[in-house]
Amino acid sequence: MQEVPSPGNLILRKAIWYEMIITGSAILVRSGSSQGVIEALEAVPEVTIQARSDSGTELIVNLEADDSTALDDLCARLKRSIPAIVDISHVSVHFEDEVERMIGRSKQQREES
Amino acid sequence: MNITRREMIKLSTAAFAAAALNIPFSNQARAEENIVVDKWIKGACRFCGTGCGVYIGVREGKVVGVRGNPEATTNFGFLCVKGFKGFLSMYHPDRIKYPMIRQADGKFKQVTWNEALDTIANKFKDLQAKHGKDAVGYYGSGQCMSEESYTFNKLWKGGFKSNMVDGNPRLCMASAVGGYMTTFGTDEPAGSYADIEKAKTFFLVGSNMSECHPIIFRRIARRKLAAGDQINVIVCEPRLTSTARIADVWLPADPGTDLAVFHCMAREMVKNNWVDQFFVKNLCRFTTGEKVVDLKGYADFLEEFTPEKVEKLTRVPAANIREAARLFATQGPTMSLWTMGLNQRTRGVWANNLVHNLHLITGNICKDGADSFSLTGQPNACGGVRETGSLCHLLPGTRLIADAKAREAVEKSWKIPAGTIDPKPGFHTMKMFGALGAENDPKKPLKGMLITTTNPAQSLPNAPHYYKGMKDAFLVVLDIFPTRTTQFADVVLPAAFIYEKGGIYGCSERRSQLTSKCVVPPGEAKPDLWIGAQIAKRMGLEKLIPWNGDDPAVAYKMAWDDYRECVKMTEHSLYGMTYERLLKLEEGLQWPCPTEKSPGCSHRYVRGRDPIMDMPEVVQIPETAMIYFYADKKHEGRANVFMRPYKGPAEPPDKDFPFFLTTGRVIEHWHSSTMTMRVPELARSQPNAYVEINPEDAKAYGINNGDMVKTISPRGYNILPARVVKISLPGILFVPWFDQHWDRMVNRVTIDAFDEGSFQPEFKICKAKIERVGPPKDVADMTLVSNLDDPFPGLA
Repeated sequence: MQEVPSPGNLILRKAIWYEMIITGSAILVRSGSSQGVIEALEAVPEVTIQARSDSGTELIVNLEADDSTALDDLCARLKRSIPAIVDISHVSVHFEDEVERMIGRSKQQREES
Repeated sequence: MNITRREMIKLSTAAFAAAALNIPFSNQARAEENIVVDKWIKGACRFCGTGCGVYIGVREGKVVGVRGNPEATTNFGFLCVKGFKGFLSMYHPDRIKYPMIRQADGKFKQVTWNEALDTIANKFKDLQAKHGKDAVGYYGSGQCMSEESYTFNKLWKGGFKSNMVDGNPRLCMASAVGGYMTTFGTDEPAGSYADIEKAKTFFLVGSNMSECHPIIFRRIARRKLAAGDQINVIVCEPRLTSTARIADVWLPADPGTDLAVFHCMAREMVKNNWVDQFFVKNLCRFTTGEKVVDLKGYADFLEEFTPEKVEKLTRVPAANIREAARLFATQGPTMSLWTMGLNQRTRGVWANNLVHNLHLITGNICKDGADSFSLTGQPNACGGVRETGSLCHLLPGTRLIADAKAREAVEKSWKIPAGTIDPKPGFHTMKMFGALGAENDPKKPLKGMLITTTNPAQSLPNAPHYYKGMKDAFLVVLDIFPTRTTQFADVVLPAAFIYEKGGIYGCSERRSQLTSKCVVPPGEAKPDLWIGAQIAKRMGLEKLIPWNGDDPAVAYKMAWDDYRECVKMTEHSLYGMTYERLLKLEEGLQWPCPTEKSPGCSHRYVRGRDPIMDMPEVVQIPETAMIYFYADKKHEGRANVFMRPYKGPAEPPDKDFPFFLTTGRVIEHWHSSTMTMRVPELARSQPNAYVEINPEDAKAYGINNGDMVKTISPRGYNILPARVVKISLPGILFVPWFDQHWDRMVNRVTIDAFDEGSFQPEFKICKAKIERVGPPKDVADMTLVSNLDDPFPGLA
């Protein structure tokens, strides 16, 4: 479970905020069901709704997850729990902290060898 | 404005998603105040042939993010899972960082670049001196940059006077090349991806594009979702793939039998008078290849392909074929798209011809929304290998080596003496690896090979047949990771990743895009271009390949300019694609693009759209012709509608091997998974290969889901977990080919029979049998060749 940062612990908050993947994603929804989907998404803390197409069949959202696996899990969970979602596609993904972790692992492995 | 960095990241990523979908986004302005990375650098994705435009985010000298480029007309900002995550492999600890030479004890030792390059140059010179100019081959890749493929091609054909040049596009696209060349007289599609948004009927054949070209699939699926009943999707494919699931009509033909389906569709079109009379009269030539006939002669030829007879032959219901023909011919514009299912066959060229036939007789080509479009598998198979002519029978501009005028033009451009280029084609891939062997083996004329950016020890069909040759010959491998192929190498050179060097990729729709260098390579890794130029220098060919400096931005531009000049006066001209233009243009440019003012070309052979139509110095075209197939070898402006006889696969099932075995890809992995298996999330998502078995067959063999199954062909076997699903029809097995584990490398099983026209092997079809060997076992081992010194398992 991701720890929720307290307002008084700014260093911790910064660390947590940076150790995340943040996406800009498009969610395709069945025609006529966007309001219901929006209401369902609003209950999911990892989702921020940013925009809706005029036709109502596409939503622009941010998805936030600890790592790529958690992101995949989140997408699968959303599709499973909200049947009106046809597809979720990521357009932009911010990975900075995953790269840092990979480089950290590389260094550690080099040192160990 | 006081917002946090996290909020800015969210706004920025959302803004790109909104831009991709053309959705108004009120926070756009704030999002564009970009503080997320030090810089975003424009480039192209390297994980399939779609050519998705990307921006690479760099922070403190490291790639930290990737986002789709909303201005790129290939992907409009969307990316797939490989596009987003694949680059993370750049930072994997297994990266090869230093030149390595194998020692007498079989182990690799780190050496300096000078030692490595001198060793290679001296050995190549020695082999050529002892065994002739053709003793050393080059085996390239559709993942090399165009400048790199051009350079190695020039070095071999112009410098060594040898045509022993081929590459892995031979394994994936050669039949498409053969199809275009024989039907239209020249390679690559007439239309563009933009036809997708204008097509009303799609014919998807031999392509699981939802996994292999997901961004293209998304464009089609979006059309289908938005316009519902107005859009028709026909899928011809033996498996009920995720692509087939959006089909209105599914044509489940047994592997290798679809030639009959295509002829049957043509028969329905002709019988029902669904043909385009203008095309038939003015733009088609009905031919056996030797004899030309009229439409009636063609109709007579098709008569035997009745829907009922074809149903018996292929298992495709007759009613489905009739409906597919009707939709294709009457509900257009129609666009066909295909990949390996059509190409990786002993009748691959013919299969391509027959799809072109359907477009030609119904006039579904050279119009908005209508095209016969081969999707390429690799990011630069079209641009880097087909267009630069880096195959054994080609010259730059996809000109034939056998053509004396083409040789003369290239020799002039390269400023080498007339007669330098050997008129005899070199060995194609399968012949090349069959000819590779030891210096003292008189049966093996090829004694050395330079392999770059590909992994033939895993990707060749019937691969074990070729291992001894790879082991015995002098093998130089350029790569970023240890692979099955580096396990046979004598010298391994550390290569730079695309974002560590930059360069140009040309995708399926004749579009070239420039990627700029983003970060420095790790350790002492170097760009392929530098490596090729340094070898040239050491072999006395610096004048031919002068771009051997250390700055890749300068060297790659020099090579590109040399190439532009070489193909300037061809119908493949991309002379107008300067580095300066490609740097500025978000979406790149499509050839033909003969001048620096040319906007490129969305539809070839169409006056007003194709600049070559108005270049009499390149091709002669009647003034009144609006559509004209100008590469027609008979100079009549027609395309060939071929009457190819029906022939099935090389190795159909029989009583001992009762199954069709077909192979393919999965969305998570790229080729032999040397990169994608190093991205933990992709690896975990698809950690091992498996064999798909229909429940009916599984029951007959007492196999339950997950049981370990021996999949056997006349050449070898795999031991794979069973995936019992209805996706494959009864009698058909499917195995993805990415897995590096010895037990699960499916190319130990596949057949190396190949198309006699394109020399492309029949990966898609061989006979097989199955045996249950045990209960479920955990094989999710995410196998990787991690160390250059790991012994090869197949050589006892």
